[in-house]
Amino acid sequence: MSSTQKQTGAAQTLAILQQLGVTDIFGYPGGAIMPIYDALYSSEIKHYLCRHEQGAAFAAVGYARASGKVGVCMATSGPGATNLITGLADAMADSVAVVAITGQVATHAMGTDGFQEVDIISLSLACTKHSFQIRKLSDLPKTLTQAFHIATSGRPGPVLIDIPKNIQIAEVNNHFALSSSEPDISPVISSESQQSIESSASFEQAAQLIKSSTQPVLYIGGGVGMAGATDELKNLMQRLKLPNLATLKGLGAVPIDEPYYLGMLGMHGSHQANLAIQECDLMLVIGARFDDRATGKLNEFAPNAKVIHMDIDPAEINKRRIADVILLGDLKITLPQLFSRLSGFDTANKKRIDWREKCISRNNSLEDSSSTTSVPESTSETTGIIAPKLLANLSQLLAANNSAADGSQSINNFHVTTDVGQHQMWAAQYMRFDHPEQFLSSSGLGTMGFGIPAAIGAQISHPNAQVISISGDGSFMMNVQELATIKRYQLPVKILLIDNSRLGLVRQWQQLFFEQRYSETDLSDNPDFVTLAKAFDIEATTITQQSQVSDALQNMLAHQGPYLLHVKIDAFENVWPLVPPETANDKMIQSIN
Amino acid sequence: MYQHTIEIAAYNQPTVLERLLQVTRYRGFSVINFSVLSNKQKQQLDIELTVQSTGKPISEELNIQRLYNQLNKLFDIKHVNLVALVAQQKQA
Repeated sequence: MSSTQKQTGAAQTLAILQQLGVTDIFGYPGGAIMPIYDALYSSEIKHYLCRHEQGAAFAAVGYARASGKVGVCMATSGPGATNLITGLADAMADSVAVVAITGQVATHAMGTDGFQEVDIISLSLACTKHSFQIRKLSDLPKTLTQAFHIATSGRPGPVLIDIPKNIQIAEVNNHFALSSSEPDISPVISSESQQSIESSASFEQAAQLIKSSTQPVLYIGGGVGMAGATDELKNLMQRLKLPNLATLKGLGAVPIDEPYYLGMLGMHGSHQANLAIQECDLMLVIGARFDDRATGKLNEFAPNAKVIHMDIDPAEINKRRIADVILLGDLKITLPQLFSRLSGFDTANKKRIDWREKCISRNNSLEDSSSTTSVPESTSETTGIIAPKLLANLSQLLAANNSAADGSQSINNFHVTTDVGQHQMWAAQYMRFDHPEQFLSSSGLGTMGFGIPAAIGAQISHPNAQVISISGDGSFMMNVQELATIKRYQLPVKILLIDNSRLGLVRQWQQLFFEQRYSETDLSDNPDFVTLAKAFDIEATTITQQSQVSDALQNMLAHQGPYLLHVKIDAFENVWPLVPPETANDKMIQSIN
Repeated sequence: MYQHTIEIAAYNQPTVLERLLQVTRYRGFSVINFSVLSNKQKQQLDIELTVQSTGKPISEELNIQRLYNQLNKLFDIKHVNLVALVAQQKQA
């Protein structure tokens, strides 16, 4: 295209996105974004039509979390834009780099309560890192560049760009070329990225605290994976040989062969992890934010522990727990800096060895599984399926399939997404992951309906990977329309639907804390899920007996194409342990009695 | 009751005032005084914000520091200055 040819705002938007490295977009068209969709018709960017804008937003989240690239989603104005909000809030809560583009009514119509007009910028204030509304076509290149920079710099997060229809239609003479310009991205040099690495003195203080501790614990959060710092963490863990545990978002950051791993901490964390964190005298907190699900009753959390807090976001420091030493910065840089100051760390210190042995002696093993939680006794006296055991079996199968013929592990060959509820907690407790990108679960916002569209995004980002969406019957129905997206693109996503005909975790809380008043949690009028899947040309089967599990899982994983394995379980299976609300982590409930 | 005064220099972008007020409310403060002046020379908005906690924080110093950290993250904010980190007693 010659430089004298005009280019519309719509075409320029896509051209710039392409220059910024975007190859895939998830979206749904509509009136106010039609010019962009018209330009998309002849663009090299691949667009994936979801069946609900919320599905598109979650697909972008899954894509970003699985690949490390920016997830891009697109919707029209009004209801299209508002349907993205839940996905953006999810990305905000879990710090995921997503860019959302919304159409808007023409600038001259804005503020007149026009058809499908909504003030999406106002709605975006609470659920995005930043948002923009393009008022002049000449602002488009700088704004798009800024948006991607904001989404990916410092602590990642979602950014929304609202583009009025007349801007999309307007024409410009100059074709923007990213490489030939020096985009002015001010004022968006964030305070996060401008933070200088902490001084040497801070690292020395941290090292001294570690060396002088007798009951230290490494508390590992999702920040490790986001920083791409799993190797740096592994080096530190190998140097220190200390008990370690992870948050829900930190699962996968600790390698499977790590000998002193205690599992997940918190509300449904492992017995051994919760006791360790409560008894420790030092927490080395790496990329975690003391979320309430992890801490339990905050003023009783780790009562004797000093804190070294390593994070990229200064706003997380001292927000929930005061830090004794702050190491602010990118973990990719700060972890090696700390490591370099620990050459004198005495791994033969008897008190620390005794502490470590005490911590790991509480680990239970499930036969030959690498799970850190033993399967609880089932309340059922039948041969019915026990979900934890099913998921442990799945985890073993995935690990076996993930090994190359020479026995070496090929990382990132599978991705598991979950929805929210009991199945999610069981997956976190009984499955093991070797890399953060393998476990994609809505952690901060806890959004039901996340699983299937996130799996779609993950599958598109890694076409050759095994992608499994683990869902409950409640969550499954929330974005069930995305089965059409799986069908449309023949994505070989496997759906493991754990069906107790209940809104399970809410039912469990009603049983424990609301005197068994089961209000609106009975889902026994669910549709026939197998018939439903087959309506979308997705092969499906139901199992009800433990004896069927092994073959059924293997058949599911081996199936070429999408597959739904519908697993019936007892309606009253519970997730254990459980830390009740406003309770310290060591006051876990282990059973109904 | 304690009040804190914060000086903010912000880029004159359409949503900057909405964003900083949203953050202020969401992080547990109510606005007592709010003044905005357009500084054409520096191409910025000069904002003075006086706030008080809506709850009963354990530490007023820590609480206002948390608000400072959150405001400082906003991309249209140039810089934030806590005029007095030590809270001022409200006049009866």
